Amino acid sequence: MPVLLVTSDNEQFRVEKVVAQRSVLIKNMLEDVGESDQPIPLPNVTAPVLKKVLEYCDHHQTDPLPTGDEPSADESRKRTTDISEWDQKFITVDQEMLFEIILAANYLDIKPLLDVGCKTVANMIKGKSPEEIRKLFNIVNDFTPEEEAQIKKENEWAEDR
Amino acid sequence: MPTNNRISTSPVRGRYFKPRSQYHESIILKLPIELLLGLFQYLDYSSLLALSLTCQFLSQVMKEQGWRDFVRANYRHTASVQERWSFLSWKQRARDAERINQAWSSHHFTAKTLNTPWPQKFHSVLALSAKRLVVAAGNAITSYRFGFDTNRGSSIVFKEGTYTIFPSAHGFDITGIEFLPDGGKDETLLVSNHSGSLVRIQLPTPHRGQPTFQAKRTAQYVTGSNTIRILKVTGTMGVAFSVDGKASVVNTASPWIPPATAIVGKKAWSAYIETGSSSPYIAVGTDEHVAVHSFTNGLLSAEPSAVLGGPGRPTPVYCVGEFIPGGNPNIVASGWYDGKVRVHDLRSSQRDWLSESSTPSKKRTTLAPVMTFSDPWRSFDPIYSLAVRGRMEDKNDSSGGNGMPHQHHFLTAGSALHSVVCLWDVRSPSRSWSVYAPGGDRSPVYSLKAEGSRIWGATQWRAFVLDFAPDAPKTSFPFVQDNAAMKEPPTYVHFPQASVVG
Repeated sequence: MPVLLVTSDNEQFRVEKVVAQRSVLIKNMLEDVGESDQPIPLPNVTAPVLKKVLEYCDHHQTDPLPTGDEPSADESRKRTTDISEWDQKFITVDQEMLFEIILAANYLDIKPLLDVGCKTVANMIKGKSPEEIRKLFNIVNDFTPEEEAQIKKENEWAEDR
Repeated sequence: MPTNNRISTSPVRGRYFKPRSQYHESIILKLPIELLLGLFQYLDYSSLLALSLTCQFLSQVMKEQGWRDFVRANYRHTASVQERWSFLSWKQRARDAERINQAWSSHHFTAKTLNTPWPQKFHSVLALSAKRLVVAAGNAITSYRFGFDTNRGSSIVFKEGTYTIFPSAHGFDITGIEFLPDGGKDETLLVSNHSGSLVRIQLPTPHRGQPTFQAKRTAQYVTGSNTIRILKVTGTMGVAFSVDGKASVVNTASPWIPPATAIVGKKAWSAYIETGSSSPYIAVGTDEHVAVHSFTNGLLSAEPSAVLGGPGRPTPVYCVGEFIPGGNPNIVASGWYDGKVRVHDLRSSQRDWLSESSTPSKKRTTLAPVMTFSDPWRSFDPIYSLAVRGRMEDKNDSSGGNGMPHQHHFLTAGSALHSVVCLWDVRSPSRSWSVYAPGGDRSPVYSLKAEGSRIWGATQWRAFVLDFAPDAPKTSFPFVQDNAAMKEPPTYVHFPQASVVG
């Protein structure tokens, strides 16, 4: 049975239940509501983002759901920065969309997607200097010259490695 | 972009961060704090450091919470450096954790022997607590105290004294020594010997310039055994195994209560008590296999509830221990005569049919190992001792140790010849390696204790330490004559033959 999702900008998406249920939030909502034609409002997600998220859910609809009782597997998963080929292609988006996907995955509770998003950001940051990271994310350096000098002193060890 | 109804930024542990309005140009800085901290968990140390140096806000988030989270996930508990640890900020601790883990992976450590070789070979035993290392050799024990020199900014390990526990006649050698709970003083120990004595002792308080040679004997227990082979302690309970397969459970707080005994029937070489499980047990390494006996309310079952199998024929098991410190109590590691360390999961249904009895009707099933580790270059040396490095920050930590990631989890084992210590990286066994204990003795490593940044061990001639902490080169260890001339002990990697058999 298809499920009707409504985004914050009032667009409607009709999707298969098995696809929508990749989102633990939606899955729980459906379980609470039971059999119903009621549309599910998603006030935190816009249409372009939901479209993208559903693309992910559709492709991964047959994956086993994370059980959540294996914290050790969870931890080690976070440490590897490997992303599958399809996911990599999927997540090749501009920075704004990337963070929108992360926020949506968090809100909709889709752990594997949050994982892909966070790993992508991690890979972007990896190996960069503070100045390069500022450029990457448009961060303003608001340290005073004194603080800057202090930081340099504190972190001298980092350079001699 | 429409971000109005997003999760609001909330205080982290009651602390508020500066308003971020002036940074709203940056998308990453607009993430809710929870999500930002979640993202940090995917970052390695140098990425986090670089991020913390970009602006005030990220610097503050790292200082307030980020470094703490990093330490939780990456630091392995090291009781013996707690004093130094208490002087460090979370950021410094994170740096330490990073450097220690790197040292383990890149085989960088400081090696020291703790004594000049003993006058004769001893089957040495170690006991480790937060405050002390106690080395038992022959009829005497030597106590080493841990500390921190605030002036030099480095750890200290100093010798408190050597105390005679039993008369120096043949047959009185110490076979087991364990710390007993004494409110954190770490000066009460339970000691067993080869002639069946089991005593509780109290370490003397050393007076300046006046060495003491006696540890006070505060209790004596009757076990009715003539030779105690193994001694283990859980809470205030002591469990002694005699050479003839008898186990005596004593209540150390009440020496007048006779021990509860059980005949396990097999010659016991090693034992491991697990009381954290819903069905507490003692795993006993025998001449043939590991027998798991249920252990409830101080009563040990005579019949094993499970048998853990090895190479398919009866093989002695010289050590048994935990596999994931503070983790799942159903997983047991054991070191075998055939040079393998086997890991069994008591919940596993994988069984080998092994006919141990000649009568087919008495065929017994043994649990098959879920993992097997061995050092490919020493594959026939029996395994004599086992220890795991892996416990996170603290037993009492809110994470309860159950969130134990396998990262930085090392299984260490002492082999029977050439004092080799094998270190298996449980998460990626191909990165495993081995090291010759300092001193280069042709000896078994009889006893091992692993901490986050230190491995303590003992051969038949001496006790030693391998220290992976960044302050290890500055740490003052007891002066030992031959340490000065001793070169770095050689190491070798297991690759490419490292094996994990499913």
